[in-house]
Amino acid sequence: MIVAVLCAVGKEAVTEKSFASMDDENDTLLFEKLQEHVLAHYPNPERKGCPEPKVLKSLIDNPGDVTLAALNDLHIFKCAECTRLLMELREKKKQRETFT
Amino acid sequence: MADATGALPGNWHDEPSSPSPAPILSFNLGYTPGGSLLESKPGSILESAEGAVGRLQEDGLRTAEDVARLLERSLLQEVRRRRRAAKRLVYVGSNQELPTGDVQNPLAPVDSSIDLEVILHGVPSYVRFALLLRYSRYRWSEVAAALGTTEAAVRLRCKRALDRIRKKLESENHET
Repeated sequence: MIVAVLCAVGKEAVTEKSFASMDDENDTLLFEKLQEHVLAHYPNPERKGCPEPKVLKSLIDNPGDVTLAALNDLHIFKCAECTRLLMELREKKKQRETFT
Repeated sequence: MADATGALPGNWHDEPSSPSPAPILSFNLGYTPGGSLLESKPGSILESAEGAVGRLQEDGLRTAEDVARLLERSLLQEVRRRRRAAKRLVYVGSNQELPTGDVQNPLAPVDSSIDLEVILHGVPSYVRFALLLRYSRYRWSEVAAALGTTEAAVRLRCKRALDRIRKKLESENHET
């Protein structure tokens, strides 16, 4: 029982440490946490202020063609729907790249 | 103690809408006819009423009827006071009637402590766009290529903003 508790405490400590200082050079953990946060805290079922889906698709396929204004500035950081769509588009692109 | 209702005139009212004393005792104070008043729930009410009667007696008791009337008045006043207090809060239903499952809090965005619009206020649009690209799961090298610069330059320019976001996320993790 005591061992189990100690293991749990140790695991938690490792998790905290990994979030604070063990992120990779691409800050993957930071952005994953950020995405989780947006998905959990910013539901937008009415899609208020969302950019057109084709703009999001361009962001994934040709980011150089997209402007910050077309994305409605930082809207994506406060929209679970856009975040979800972005992740889907990104996954699809990855799959396409894998097959070709 | 003697039957409490014996001390209360059956048809005495200080105002037309006042209920008669016996039902008040029965329904509000848990008193059963023939029992002791002190055995009913609000013993403190009766104690204070009896205290008032005692004081009257010390001052020179007029008649038993006066004392009974004073006792009844004290009881009625206390019952009315408690009824008014009880009316202030009305509970309808129970928490078991509430819908189960996830309830989406419409104020969640307001409650959220991580507001990137606030965190990134005043940050150059170049950095904002770079963060959006990285958020879209580009690697920093890909972000740099899209912006026509080097990875080191992008990372350097985004570092301060990233530190702020990381700090906020960590503090929220600790709170939860």
